[in-house]
Amino acid sequence: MAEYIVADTAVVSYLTNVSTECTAYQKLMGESRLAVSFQTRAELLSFPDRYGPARRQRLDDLLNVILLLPHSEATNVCYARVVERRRELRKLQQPGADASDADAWIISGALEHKLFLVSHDAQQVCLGRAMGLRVLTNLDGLREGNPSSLG
Amino acid sequence: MGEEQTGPWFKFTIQDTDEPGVEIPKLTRLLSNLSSAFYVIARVKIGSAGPRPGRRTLVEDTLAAFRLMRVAPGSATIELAPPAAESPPRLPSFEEPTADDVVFDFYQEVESVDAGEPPSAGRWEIRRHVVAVIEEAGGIGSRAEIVYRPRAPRPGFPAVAVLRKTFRTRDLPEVAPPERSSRKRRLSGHAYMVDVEPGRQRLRVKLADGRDITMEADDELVARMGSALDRVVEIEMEEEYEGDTIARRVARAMAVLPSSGPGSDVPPKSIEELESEQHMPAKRPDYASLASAVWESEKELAEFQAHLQEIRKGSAG
Repeated sequence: MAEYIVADTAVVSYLTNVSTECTAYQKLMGESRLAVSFQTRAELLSFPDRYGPARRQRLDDLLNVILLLPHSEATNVCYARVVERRRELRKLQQPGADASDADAWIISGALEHKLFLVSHDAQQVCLGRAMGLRVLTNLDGLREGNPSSLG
Repeated sequence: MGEEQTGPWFKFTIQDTDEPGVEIPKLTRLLSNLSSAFYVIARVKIGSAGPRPGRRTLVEDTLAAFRLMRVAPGSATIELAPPAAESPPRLPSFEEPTADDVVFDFYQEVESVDAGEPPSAGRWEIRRHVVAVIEEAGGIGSRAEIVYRPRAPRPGFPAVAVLRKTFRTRDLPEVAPPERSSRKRRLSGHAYMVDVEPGRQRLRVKLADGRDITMEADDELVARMGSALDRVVEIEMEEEYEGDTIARRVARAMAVLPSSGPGSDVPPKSIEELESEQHMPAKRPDYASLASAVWESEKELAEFQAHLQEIRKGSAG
């Protein structure tokens, strides 16, 4: 089986070579294959209508080769744990407290399947790490906490 | 105290009647159309557009118990008194509109018709029924007046004792109906409300981003809807559009997604199973090349990032 890594929505878009983050994230991902949460798929599909059918087809081409992590009962259970942790972080006023529900679902998918997460969202990175998830990022001040290897 | 403060709660008067008296069938048709308009407004407010013949369980029947008609030479009047107290909601899972919500909405739509404005998004069905009321009134007289006394200030409107609107009932400004179209969508979420009874089959699903979505259910789904309650479901839904606004959602197909059981954090399918099911390519794809074809310029990428930030902001706690 190939090694998969869950990519946050922004990271999927940063893989385009017009992004200044492209090289950094490709390097972080190494030879891993991409998986995305149903949340990321929904977010990606929510955008390109204004660009017409050709762009939509190219987005479908990309999504068709990225593994989709569907929503399940296990995702719900993980989500409940993630939002409980977020509540604790809010009480303590710790980083990750302001993560959105979308962030929580993406973290839940990675937790459910015990996969690494690659993210360019500081709140998501902090909440994911607070959940014990191995999170890779190229964000200043957070990349120092990247796990040493993907294995 | 003058009539301004003490008159009926809602009054619909047709002025300049063509005859000194009014034939009873004309008045009963007007009353019936008024009831239908209230009914449609109430239904649209709970998120399910369009009347369902035979079901009048909402605000309209509460109003109907308080009708009074007055016919005097030159005018005909329908008066409604408000319900003495708001009854407990009959549709507890919905935000059931109050009688005041419905009547105020009717008042605003009449203003909009008289001004020759097109109906607001998602309100074509309401417009059709309100115009039917006005046209029916036009069969009796050439002008009409609505007087409405809100029992409490309406949000976003200055507090007034009475709202009054006089309008023509004939030669109404024409408004072109919106173009109708439909689109299929697939979604998944937690089905937390199932409503199955004759003439009303609905499903309410909480989506992953926290939004609720209510849809009507195809007749073929009805027998299976009970099994979906409190489960994660995948639904193929048809959205019917009026212009660019969704007028109606209908679930056409539904699958209850597999689960390892309530409370289990074990994924129902392993990564290998998902990989095989989704026919992932044997060779690692060139993600960068594929992504570069989607976001071809820095501007497009920035637009997408802004869009993402906006929708995430909506779900942030």
